Amino acid sequence: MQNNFEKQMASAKNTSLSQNEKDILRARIMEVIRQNPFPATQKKVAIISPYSVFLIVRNHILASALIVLFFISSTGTLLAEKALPGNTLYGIKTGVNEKVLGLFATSPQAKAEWQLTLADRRLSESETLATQDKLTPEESAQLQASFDEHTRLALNANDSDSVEVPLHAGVTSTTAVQVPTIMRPMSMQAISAPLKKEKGKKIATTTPVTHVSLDQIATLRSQVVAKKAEFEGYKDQLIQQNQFIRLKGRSLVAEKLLFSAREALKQGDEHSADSLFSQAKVSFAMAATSTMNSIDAETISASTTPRDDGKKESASTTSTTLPTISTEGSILDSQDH
Amino acid sequence: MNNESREEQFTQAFHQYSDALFRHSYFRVSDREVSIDLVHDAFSKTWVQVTRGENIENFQAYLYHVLNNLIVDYYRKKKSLSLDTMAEDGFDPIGTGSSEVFAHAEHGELMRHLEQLSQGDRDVIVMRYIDGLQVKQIASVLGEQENSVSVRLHRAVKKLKTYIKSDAK
Repeated sequence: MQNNFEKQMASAKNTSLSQNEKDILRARIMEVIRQNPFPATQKKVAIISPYSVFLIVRNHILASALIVLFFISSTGTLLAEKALPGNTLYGIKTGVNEKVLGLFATSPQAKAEWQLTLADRRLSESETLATQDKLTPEESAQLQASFDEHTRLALNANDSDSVEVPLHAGVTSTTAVQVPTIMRPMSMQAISAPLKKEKGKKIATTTPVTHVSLDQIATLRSQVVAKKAEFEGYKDQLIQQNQFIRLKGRSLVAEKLLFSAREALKQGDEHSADSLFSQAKVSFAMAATSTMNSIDAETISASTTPRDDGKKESASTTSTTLPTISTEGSILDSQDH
Repeated sequence: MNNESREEQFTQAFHQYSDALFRHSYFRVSDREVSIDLVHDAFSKTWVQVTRGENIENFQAYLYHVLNNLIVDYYRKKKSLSLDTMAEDGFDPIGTGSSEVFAHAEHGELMRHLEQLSQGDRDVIVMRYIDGLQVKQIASVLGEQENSVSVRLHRAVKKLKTYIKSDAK
């Protein structure tokens, strides 16, 4: 029985397809293969839906919010840079932009320069508003106060010990924080007093100034601007002598006084205009005098100092132009009537 | 693996396993033509899966699995045929016994004995002794536990031997 079982199973194992059956089966399967080829390989190209941005925003809500906030804030701050008093964004300009930029000024010198830049900005804003005929008394007073504050901070940031002469005519270094406003014209006696202290030199400013003209103001203004540029040219030397902030501050004050004088004259207040013009002249004369004192030595040795040609030319020009704005105030006197 | 390699692997599987699959099918359905058709269908379905990117690591196990499912389907279709309808068409199951049919077929004696077994017993006998599959492989093809396959195989062999013994008498 056991043998029968094994024999039958062994016989069954030999069962196979005949060669004909196998050929037919192979042909049928090859036909199946031919009819069902592999699909053509197509490189999948990701098509980005325009609506996928919503998905990205949903999945990265915090990052999206930060990006939006960044764009809004950066756009706002850029727009605010051009804002004037009275504009909505002016608060951002003074309260955010300028405070943030001020953080980059770390050294006392940089801080002082930044404060002078801010003072210059206030002056520019005043002029822009005046040009547009939008300068109200409130805004004028506000800008004046801000200008005074920045000039005061500039001096404080600078080494105050070296400031031997007042920033503004009639204001000593100890009282430099109280820069007079345009509404507080000073007497010529008050102006002349501190000037006499400066290295014993006299400036002929005792002659009363009356009925200054717009042309005179404009002429002096152009001289002040030129002097400011000159300070920039000798910036390194002036910084070494700790004079740059003081001189540039004086120029700015002179410029501001001239602006105020022009506005006063436009409003028919000739007395205030005359007084402001006088103050501007004094302040400018002090700056010019200090410039000559500070730069003279440098001008003499300019040829021996390794500088580029442009600087040399500037130095030689200074030595010839400075005497015209003499300590005796010859140019200034010529402005007076 | 690229497409050419897959096709080569498939044709190699055909040459390697076509006879064994036919034998397996033949001893389970007892019909040579049907067996060839079932083997053809098993290879066709496997090829379609290959073209769809299915990664087939063991072609032998995969082909047996597909063929087993086809045989199960064949059994179901065969049962669904109404005996009454067949009788009306002239089919007489009493007059033409299976013994007479198998007597003329190849391996008629074995076929007749296998016919006496239940379908499940017959399947495990064919897989184990004709296909030469291990119990573990049979369990994998049938989707059953190895223990139950072993028990069923043991009982099926015992029954088959009994039938052979009684026939010998």
